[in-house]
Amino acid sequence: MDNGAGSYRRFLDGDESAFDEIMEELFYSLVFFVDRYVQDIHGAEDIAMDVFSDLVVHRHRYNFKVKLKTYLFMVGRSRALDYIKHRKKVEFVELSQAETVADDGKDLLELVLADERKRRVNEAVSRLPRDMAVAVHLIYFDRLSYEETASVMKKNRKQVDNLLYRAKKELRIILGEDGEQLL
Amino acid sequence: MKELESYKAEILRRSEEKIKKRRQNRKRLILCWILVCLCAVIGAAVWLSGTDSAESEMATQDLLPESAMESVMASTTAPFQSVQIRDWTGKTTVVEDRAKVGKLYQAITDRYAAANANATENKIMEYRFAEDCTGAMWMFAESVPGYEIQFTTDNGETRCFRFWLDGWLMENGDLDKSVFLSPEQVEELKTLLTEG
Repeated sequence: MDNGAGSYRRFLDGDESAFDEIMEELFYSLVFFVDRYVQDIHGAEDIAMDVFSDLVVHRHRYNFKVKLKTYLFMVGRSRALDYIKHRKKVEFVELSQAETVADDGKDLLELVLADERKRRVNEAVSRLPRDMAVAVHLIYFDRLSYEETASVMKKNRKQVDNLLYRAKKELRIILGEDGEQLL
Repeated sequence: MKELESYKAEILRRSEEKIKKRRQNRKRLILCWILVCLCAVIGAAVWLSGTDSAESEMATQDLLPESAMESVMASTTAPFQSVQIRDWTGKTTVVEDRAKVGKLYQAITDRYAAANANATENKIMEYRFAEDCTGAMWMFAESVPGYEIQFTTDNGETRCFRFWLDGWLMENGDLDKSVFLSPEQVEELKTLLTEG
């Protein structure tokens, strides 16, 4: 699989079903990734939908030089940072709705993280500082290469290396001796 | 979490909205460009017409002697009753003979016409004080001797000329109404004035 680039090429050629394939392959992982920044599942969904609608509207912005997944994550990251900057106040959620929001988050985790091992790591990753968490997320959950991770995070390879090194040290502390095997 | 299908429907709805907005923005941009172009065209036209009028103004100034004569001739509205002549020494003569007054007036206007027939534009008049006939500045204190000639009509209107013996004849301190006379013309006018 070429992480959606082939499907997108077919979509550009007029094959509407190719868009469904891209959605299936990348939508939830984009929501999961954006949620790592915004810590708000509905905001993350909204941003992900916006990123995908841009893919439909601005058909020639993606130039196939990187994987479609990397491109979408780059756009998603920048939208997420914008979202955080403009989110001036914390929006309070009614208690009755709060359960739904929490359930939505759980649903997403179930969809994206099928196995228990990943879920435990995800919990630990959530406790890391944001940059470290994002770096681990991209490498560990999304299987991006170091170079792709660096492009998405707008950092160089060395910075990503350092972030991962420090993140692993932190994770060992958080997960304890049992967790050592998870990494 | 919603179904993937409902996300897709929402994505397509947003896409349509964005496309519509983009079209509107493009239309606005085109309109703006048209307005800018129109403004530029109008601005250029105004600028060009300004240049034309400046050129025509310059052309008018080239014809200054003629216009000086025309303005002197045109402002003759009523017959003159008297003329007061004052020379550079301060000596004042008043002539009330209408025939003589008319003759002197005619002579001055003739000088304008004659001077215009000759090329006078190369002569540059040095700055001289000459406000008006009742003005405090009496130019004969200057180094060039001359006369102040003031005509008065029946209803009290006055017209004032200044005549320097170096050849300049000017109305009412107005450089636009000045002409340069030949030595012969100067002599003729001087004789008329002293005869008066």
